[in-house]
Amino acid sequence: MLRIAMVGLISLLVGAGLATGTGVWPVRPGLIGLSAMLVSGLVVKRHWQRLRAVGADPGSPERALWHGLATTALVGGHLFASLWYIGPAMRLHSPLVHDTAIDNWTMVLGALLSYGLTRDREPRRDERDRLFAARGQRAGYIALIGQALGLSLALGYGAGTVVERLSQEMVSHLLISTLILAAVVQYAAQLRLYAIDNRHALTVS
Amino acid sequence: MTQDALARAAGITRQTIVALEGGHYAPSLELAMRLALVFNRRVDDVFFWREPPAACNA
Repeated sequence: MLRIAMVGLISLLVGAGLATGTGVWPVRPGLIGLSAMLVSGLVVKRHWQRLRAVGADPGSPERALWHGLATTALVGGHLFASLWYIGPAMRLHSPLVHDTAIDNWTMVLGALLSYGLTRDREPRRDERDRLFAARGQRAGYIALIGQALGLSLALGYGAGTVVERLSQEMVSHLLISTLILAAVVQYAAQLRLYAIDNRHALTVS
Repeated sequence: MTQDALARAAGITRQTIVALEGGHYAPSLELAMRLALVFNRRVDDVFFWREPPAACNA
């Protein structure tokens, strides 16, 4: 459980940290994020190869979930922090927003490329994986509904606060943020189920 | 037979075999039947209660 929380939290913080460098650092933060994903993808791939030799490697869906948690949290962290820096009156066609978008999409590209590195070459899944996926999706759905309710209330009754100054673009990005956060919750919930199962296996064997 | 060979024969993952052996995952009837088929046994030869739950004793 601690490992899941650490991977999610560190990825979020790294993403948020990269958002501070847009237009400031000599190297594009998006490229740093992409490189970090590729390097960590290679490291994790080698780690799983070593575990495979002793029959303790994670299955295909679990690998995809670890990758999804780390990369989605990193891209999400970058997006959330960028939205914070840009402010409520965000306009799409400004130099800062253009730079931020390029960085964010570069990281999305990094997520796709690193998935190619970490994915199982012989993907297999069965009813246990489908059971965990269903439970994880339920957690993600609850997170999404909770955020949608919160956002609806804020948008509906937030007059006189910062909500009143939100631009159309910012509202659309807030909605995207809720999807990203729901995905992170789903991945974490699914990984927790695998962790519980693996812990039982270690206890019994 | 290795866990991986059994998993391939039954069309499931090695991790599920580990979970079944550990006794903390209850397979579906279909999976139980597939595993029994691999061993050429009846389902109740492969899966059985060591101690039936109290509710089943009545």
